[in-house]
Amino acid sequence: MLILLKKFGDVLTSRQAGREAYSAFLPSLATVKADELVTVNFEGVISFTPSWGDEFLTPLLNKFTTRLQLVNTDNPSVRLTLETLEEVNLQKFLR
Amino acid sequence: MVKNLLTVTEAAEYVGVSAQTLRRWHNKGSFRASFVGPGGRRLYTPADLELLSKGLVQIAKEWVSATTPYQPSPDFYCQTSDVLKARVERLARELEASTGLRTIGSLVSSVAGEIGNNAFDHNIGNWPDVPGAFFAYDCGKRLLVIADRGRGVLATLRQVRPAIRNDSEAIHIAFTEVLTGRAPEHRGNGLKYVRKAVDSSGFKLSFASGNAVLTLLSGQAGLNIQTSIMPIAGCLVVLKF
Repeated sequence: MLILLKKFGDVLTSRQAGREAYSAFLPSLATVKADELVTVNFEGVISFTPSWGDEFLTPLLNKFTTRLQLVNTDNPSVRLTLETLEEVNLQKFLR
Repeated sequence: MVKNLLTVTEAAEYVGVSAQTLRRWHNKGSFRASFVGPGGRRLYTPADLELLSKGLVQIAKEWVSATTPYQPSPDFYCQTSDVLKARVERLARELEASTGLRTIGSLVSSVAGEIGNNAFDHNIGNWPDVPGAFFAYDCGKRLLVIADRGRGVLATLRQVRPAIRNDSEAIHIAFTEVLTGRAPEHRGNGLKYVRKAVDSSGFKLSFASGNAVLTLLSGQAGLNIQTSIMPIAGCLVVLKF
C-alpha cells in the first residue's frame, strides 16, 4: 500500500490533526494483506512535526513493524521529526 | 482621544519620526500606510503605528503580563486552535514561497506548530482568563512570537510531578525529558524537537514562563535558564530565525 501524506495536507503539525488522519485512514489500513509492504511517501509535505507524526506514524510502525517504509524524507522538518520520534520511541523507521 | 486614521504629519508625530521618513518608508515598502485614499493621500491607523513603534515582542510582552486581561488585536489573536492552525499554515506557505527562507522554512513553521499547539493542549478548559494564543511573525525581520496567558509550564508539569520546585526546573524538564502534563497520554516530545531545530539551524529561541527564561542557541551544550525580571503567568516564546 502506498500512503501519500500530501493527501492529508502539506502542513502537518497538530496532534489532533494527526490523530484524526490516522482514525480516518484506519478502514483503508484494514485492506493491507499480511505480507504487504506499507510505504509512506512524504513528497509535497512542507512542514511536519513530532506531534502529528507521533499520532500517525507511531501506530503505523507498531502495526506493520518491518513492513513499514518511509520515502522522500528529505524535508528538514520531516528528517528531524523522524529522528526525534526514533529517539523517544526507541524504534527505527525503515527509510 | 486618538483619531481612527492619522495623516502622514500626525502619524509622524505619533511615532516620533519625520513625515519625510514615513513617506520614504512607504515608497520603499518597508512600512506602508494603512490606507491610500483618492489622490494618493496616505492614512495610518494607530494600531499599525503601535506595531512600528513597539514591535511584536513588546506587544506580546504587554499582553501576557497585563494585570487586567484583554484580548490582543485580531491580527495576532488565535482564540481557538483552528485559528492557530490556519496561521501556522499561512506562515509555512509564505516561507516556502520565499527563496531566501525556503531552506529553513519547514523548521520555523514546525517549531511554530509545536509551540502554538502546546498552548492549547495544556490549557484547554483551564484558561485562567483570556483563552487562546498570541501568534505573530515578521519574515522580513525573521521573527516569530507566540504567547499565551495559560497556566505556565510549572503548573502544567506539577500535575504529573508535584515535586518540581520552581519555574527554572520545570522549563529544564520540559526541554530535556519526555514528560507531559497530559500523562498518561503519549506526549512530551515537542519541546525536545524545538531544541533540536534551534540547534541544527542557527536559530535563537527565548522561552519564558513564570519567572524563568530559557535562551537556546545553536551549538549550545547545556540549557541557559535565567531568572526573569518580569514574571509571566503563561508562556512567551520568541524565535529569531
